[in-house]
Amino acid sequence: MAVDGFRVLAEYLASAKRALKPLRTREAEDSQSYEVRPLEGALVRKVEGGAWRFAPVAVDGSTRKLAGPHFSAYVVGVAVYGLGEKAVDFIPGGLGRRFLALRAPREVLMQVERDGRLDFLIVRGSDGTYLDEDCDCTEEDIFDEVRVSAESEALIRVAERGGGGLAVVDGPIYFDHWAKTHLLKIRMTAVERLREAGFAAVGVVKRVDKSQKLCKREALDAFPVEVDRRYCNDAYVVSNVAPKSGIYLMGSFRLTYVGRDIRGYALPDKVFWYASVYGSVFRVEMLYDDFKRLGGEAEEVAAWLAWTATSRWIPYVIDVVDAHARRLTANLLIALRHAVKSRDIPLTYDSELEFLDALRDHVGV
Amino acid sequence: MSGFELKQRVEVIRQKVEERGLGEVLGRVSPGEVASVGADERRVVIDVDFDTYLRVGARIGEYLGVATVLGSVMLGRVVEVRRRHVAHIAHIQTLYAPVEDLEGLKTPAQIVLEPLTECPIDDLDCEPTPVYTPVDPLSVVFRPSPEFIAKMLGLPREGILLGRLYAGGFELSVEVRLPERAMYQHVLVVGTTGAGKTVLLKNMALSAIYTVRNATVLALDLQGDYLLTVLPPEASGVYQPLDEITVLMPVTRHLIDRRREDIQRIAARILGEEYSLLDVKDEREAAGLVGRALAEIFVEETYPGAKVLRAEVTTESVQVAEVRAKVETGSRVFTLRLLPWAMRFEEVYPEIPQFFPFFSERVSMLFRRLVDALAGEGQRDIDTVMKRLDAETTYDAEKGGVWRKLKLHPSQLANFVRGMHMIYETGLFDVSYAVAENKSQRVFATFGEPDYMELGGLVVVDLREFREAPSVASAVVYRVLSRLFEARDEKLARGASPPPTFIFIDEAHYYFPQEGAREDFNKEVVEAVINKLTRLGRVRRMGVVFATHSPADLNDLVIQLTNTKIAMRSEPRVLERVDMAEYAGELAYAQSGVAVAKSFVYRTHAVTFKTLPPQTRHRGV
Repeated sequence: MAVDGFRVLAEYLASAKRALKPLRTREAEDSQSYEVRPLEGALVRKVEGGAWRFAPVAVDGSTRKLAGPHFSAYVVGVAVYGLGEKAVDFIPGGLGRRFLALRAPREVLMQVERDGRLDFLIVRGSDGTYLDEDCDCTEEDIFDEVRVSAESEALIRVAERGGGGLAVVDGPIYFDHWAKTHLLKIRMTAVERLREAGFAAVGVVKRVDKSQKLCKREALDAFPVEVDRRYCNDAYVVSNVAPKSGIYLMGSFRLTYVGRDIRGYALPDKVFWYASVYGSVFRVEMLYDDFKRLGGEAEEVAAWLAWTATSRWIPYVIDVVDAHARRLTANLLIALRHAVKSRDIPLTYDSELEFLDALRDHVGV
Repeated sequence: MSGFELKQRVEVIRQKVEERGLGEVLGRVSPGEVASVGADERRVVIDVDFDTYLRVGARIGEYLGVATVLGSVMLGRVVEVRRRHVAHIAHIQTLYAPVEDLEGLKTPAQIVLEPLTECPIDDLDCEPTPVYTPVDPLSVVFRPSPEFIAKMLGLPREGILLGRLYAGGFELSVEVRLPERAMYQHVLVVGTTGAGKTVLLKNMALSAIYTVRNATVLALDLQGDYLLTVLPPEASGVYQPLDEITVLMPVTRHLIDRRREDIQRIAARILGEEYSLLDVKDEREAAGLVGRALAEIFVEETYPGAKVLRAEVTTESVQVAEVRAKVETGSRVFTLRLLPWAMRFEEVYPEIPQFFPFFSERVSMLFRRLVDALAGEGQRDIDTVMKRLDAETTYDAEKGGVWRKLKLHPSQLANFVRGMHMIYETGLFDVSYAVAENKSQRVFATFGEPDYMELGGLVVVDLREFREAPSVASAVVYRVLSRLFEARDEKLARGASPPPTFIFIDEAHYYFPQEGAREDFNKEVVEAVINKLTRLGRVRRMGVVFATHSPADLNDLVIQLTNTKIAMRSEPRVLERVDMAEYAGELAYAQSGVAVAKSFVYRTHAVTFKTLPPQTRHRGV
């Protein structure tokens, strides 16, 4: 009964008097913390097609934000494809309940935390601190709080189902940006549970223009391409290496964290490929251990994901969960905005734009 | 009302559906679609989860129940089933790989339901009404029990059994009956060859005998179908085969000629080898022997392997009136009441234009005078009249005395002469079994018409002899129907209630052609017979069941005057002809035996059913 809950929440938000200070933004990727080495036989391979070989479980979380001067609400929806009796399962829905992180003045957070009708809310970070006006966090951190915790909850449900196979996640298997060890631990626990249940976790990263994994010397040396490493990103490298016409797979590469912080000893090695689908690029990654376990099949997974690219230039299973998750959060945001507006709570300009975007996703345009 | 209270309310409704045995809960009315109950549109979309869909399926035409949030319970009919792959729902199109993702099939099935009738859920004994109350999304949807379906459709509980309710490609254990009163407003059955018309008609005939007190069922039988209603089917049915059958057997001169030796052979066998029919001096005994022989010939031809155990022949002078025989076939013994049938020209000639549809209107009016003029003071048997006709026409038609006296136009003369020859050629008049003896003819047996008042039970008019002669068959049929009508009319005139009489006419276009379909048929005669049977028959408790595979060739009046139409597998144009075009989708490729009955007696105007399997022996089974 999300609509009832939103109505209750709006009552509390209407009582908020203090404004929130703007959050700082997250730093760019720290490419010094890892090494990338091409694995033996790494090359550019044309994907020629083939049978519809795999039936993976796919997971994606979508987030949206609705904000006013006194609050920011971060809504998450997770879609899981191929888990059970239904084609698609959801959080909020059959797989979990908590789907809305709220940043608001402390007294409001404390009040809503006590209200049993609002058990879908997240008001503290994974480290236990309130997401209040003094939160030492970035916007991305809060999005990650809701998204990662919800996605990880979904991954654990996949592991609980058992049966093994592939679990394809929209996004990296784990984020190497996090200073937040709690979230990292949550995700790694979920990935470990998957592995125990016989699943290989596969990440599909759509936004690669800020990634510089291929800009490492060892990676670039594998290809006959001249790139100024000072002005380099992965999308650029791929576009120079893979022909524009056809589907190509570049890889495989092994990524090892070498930093002195927690990532250096807590994050397991990954193997990744880049797929170029008529010039459009995404990355496929999996844990090195899974790569070894799958043997030659590992690269076939990456090739299959590329071969099943849709009109949105992403793998079919990712498109399915992405579309469902976006439609779910669109519906939630529309309902939340309706509740908030009905209490005369002002919204930011960006939130109104977000609302229009949600309307478009709601009607499937 | 809070969300929690609403949830509780819907839960209570769900429990009522289960506890009251209304049916198995399948799903909910879709929250993603408009559930519309309006004057123009009645449409409710239902979501059924994939597992339930896999388990129970979803079929066009099946009935589903809806228990609404407002407390109504409705019966609806599935008009559409939608299946969508996840790729369609999410608007996903792969660029290169054809999607072979089976996981994507696990989407809810969407079933579009047309609500038909409703009752309050707390008053299931109510008289169902059309749907007046709205259907809220998330109302509970269930697969209804047969009792619930029968109740909500308001199906008649008594009447002629047509078959069992058929929905979604399945036969349900719900009987579909046609009330007796609907039978008196007449029925038309259409369906292509092999669609199951004859089985339906035979089953209806049997049901009429068993369910309507004192019913007479008269069946016109070109193929010998109804003659088998005394024999058991391959598998046992709802009804037992009949123990007695009355067969009205037209005896023609051709038949007598063809069977002359058989009659003599059988008579000799009965008399003993030293004697022959010629040795029998008692005229009643001789007639009885001919009657018995005819009955044995009939049994031999109709029920191969059967034998006549004993037979009683009723004669009136030399006329064979009735043969009542015990027939044994296999382990079964039944009573055959054989009524040899022929006409005496002298008795019937004034009425001939009314049942012989080949004379023009003018000639019909003059017919009696023409025959009288021909016969003069002489006998009015067919042979004498024909001899006089030959003499007159040979003399000079133009100048001939008779024709001149009556101022007959040459075309009318031609029509009369042609018609008289056709009448003679039928061999139906003045039929006798005679043998030349001492330069004269000894008449052993004659044949006439039965007492139509006395007809009861199943009466089959055996028309097998006239399969290739529609004009003769029609003449017999018109005469029999006309006399039967008069018998019922007489009963009514006496102030008594005539017994229910149901007339089954298969291949109705054969006897009642459309205007212009058969040039030799006089439209007025055809339509007069139809009018008499249908318009006037109603009051006399006479109901007619017409059947045809070719309604285009059937007279318009039949289509107009039958208030119940039953359509079986048919082409769309056939259904259009009987105003049932809307069932083309359901019937164009329907299984044999599946039919839609459209009648004023059904609350939903039309009911789809499947006929029972043949309840008695059926040709080809």
